[in-house]
Amino acid sequence: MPPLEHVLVISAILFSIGVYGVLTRRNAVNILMSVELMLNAVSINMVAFAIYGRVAFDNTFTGIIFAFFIVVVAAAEVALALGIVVRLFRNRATANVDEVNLLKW
Amino acid sequence: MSATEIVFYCIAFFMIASGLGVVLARNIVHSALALILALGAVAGVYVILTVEFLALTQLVVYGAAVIMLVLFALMLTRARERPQALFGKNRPIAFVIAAGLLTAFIAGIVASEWATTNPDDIEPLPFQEIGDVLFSAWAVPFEVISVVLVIAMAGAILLSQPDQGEQ
Amino acid sequence: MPEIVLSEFAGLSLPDWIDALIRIVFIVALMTVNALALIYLERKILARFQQRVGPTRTGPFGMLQSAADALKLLTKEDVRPTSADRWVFELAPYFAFVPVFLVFIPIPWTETWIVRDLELGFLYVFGVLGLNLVGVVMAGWGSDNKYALLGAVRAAAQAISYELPMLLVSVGVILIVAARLTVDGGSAFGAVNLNVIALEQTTTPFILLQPLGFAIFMIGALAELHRPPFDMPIAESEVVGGYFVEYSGIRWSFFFLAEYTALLLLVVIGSTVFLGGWNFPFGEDVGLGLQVLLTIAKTSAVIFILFWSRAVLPRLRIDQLMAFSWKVLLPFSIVQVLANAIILAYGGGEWIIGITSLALLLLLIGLVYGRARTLSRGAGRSLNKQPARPRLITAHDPAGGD
Repeated sequence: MPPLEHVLVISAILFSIGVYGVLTRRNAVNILMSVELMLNAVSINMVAFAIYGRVAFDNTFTGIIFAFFIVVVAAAEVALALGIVVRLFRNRATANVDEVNLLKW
Repeated sequence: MSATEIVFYCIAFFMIASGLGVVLARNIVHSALALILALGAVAGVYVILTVEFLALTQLVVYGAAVIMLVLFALMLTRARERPQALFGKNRPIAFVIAAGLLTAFIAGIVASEWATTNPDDIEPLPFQEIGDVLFSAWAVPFEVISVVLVIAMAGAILLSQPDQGEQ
Repeated sequence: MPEIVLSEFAGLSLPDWIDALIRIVFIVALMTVNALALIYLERKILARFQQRVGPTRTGPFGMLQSAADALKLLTKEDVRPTSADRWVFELAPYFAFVPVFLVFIPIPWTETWIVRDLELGFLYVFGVLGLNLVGVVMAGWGSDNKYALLGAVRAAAQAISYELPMLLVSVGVILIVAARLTVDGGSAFGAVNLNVIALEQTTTPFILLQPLGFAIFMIGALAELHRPPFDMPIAESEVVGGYFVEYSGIRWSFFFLAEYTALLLLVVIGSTVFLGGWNFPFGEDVGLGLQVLLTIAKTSAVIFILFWSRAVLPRLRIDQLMAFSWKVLLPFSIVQVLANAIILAYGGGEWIIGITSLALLLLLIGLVYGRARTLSRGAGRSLNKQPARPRLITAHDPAGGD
């Protein structure tokens, strides 16, 4: 197995890519995809800590449970967010977040 | 380097390449397809980390359901008929922020002392142990999660319903 | 769990990679032969149902017909529409095909003939088979064709809806297996393993304990495979050819190879989980030959039923299809799982599970039959009330238009 640091660095890279995507993209669906990347990077971290620290920390592997919950919450979040996007498109005929500026002044 | 490590670095390279595809693709459906590859690669990382159960959950939930939702949303918002600028104006700032974040992360990772076991001594985690913990110590959060799912489902249905009088 | 070790086959000791290579060659050969044979048999059986004779010209009884078709497909020109998204269009067949290929891994053909005995075999099958959809949607979107896109969206919606009841009724079976494994204080480890599920059916196949489960599993399989009466994604009269309208030649045949392979695999899984697989009437000690024969016999019987349903059932409408999954099959499968869990938790005998499931199945059949009766009667009445009147449409008819 690879050393823990390598797994962490790889997930950090994936997380930063996700951050870049969230900051640059205009389309709401695209932003959501980048958020998924960030969530998955976090999940990798959780699993890596759980696996590598299992012996050191008294055979607990809470990280895996957390990763499991993250998958479930991500599914719920995607369903809701896409519902909002579809509604937004229906009302404003755009899915770009920078064109939704009714509350902006 | 063992075979597992070679496979791991290949998967990691593939994952990062497809992650870049997600944020850099000019076509929004291409970036959704790159997201599938990236999430599949994450499942591969889970397999390398000996959590096959989580990898399969990832495939079932992300591989089919989430991706289909994303593609449906793209089709409902007519991604293909309306080509337009996909990137905002703040790309340089975003790049600086992301790069700075990455540097900070890597510095933190390198500087820390991790209390881990030797990677070669790690034994695979049997998946029934995950199930035991999930239904004993974590039973209440597990139920709460199911409530969250139900609420999300109801909310999504409510949101996507047509208005009164709307066809 | 015993596993066939090819490297010790015939007294030779082979390195691992040759072993793996032999398995891959074996699977590829099986896939090709299976697709050719199934296409031929489907044409013959359908012809019998429709009082025709089917292909007769090529070879004895027309048996070489599908080989000839395959040759034709291989030599056909590979056309790509100019407006198609190049990479998505060309890669789609492989994305549809590779997941199906991967599903071969945990299938127990006999007690020892398994490519790799996976502990999470069942979950693996559904996790990987679901990825097949990605290829379908890629094909539909990449073709830049309205019909292809409609077909792909239909296929995706249908597959997601019917995967849920299938998984749930299989959870019902897994519950029974787990209860049996934990009877003597043992661990439920292995209850998701397809071979363990088959091993538990020496005396009674699970179809007797879960008739509702088998029915829902087979309905779900029909829908997953886009077979009539659930073939809306590829319905010629509605969406021309569905997601592969724009494909020709070898790429088109990839889709068909994937479809017929998935048919074989889902049927083998269904017969392993519900009909006892290689195990049922004769047990584990009968030897390899008889086990292979059992697998083949059960698989062929179920495949025949699937072909039969194609010959006799009319196609559903897409909204009826979705409603049937979400409003009928899903509640029934949830009730089934709940009933199993409650009965097993309170120590009820397995025969109670069987009776509950049978009662649920009868209720399901009654509901569907009653609904069909009301629908057909209602349709007849409205037809009587407003008889269709032929009308001359002139240029000035405000209702007719021009």
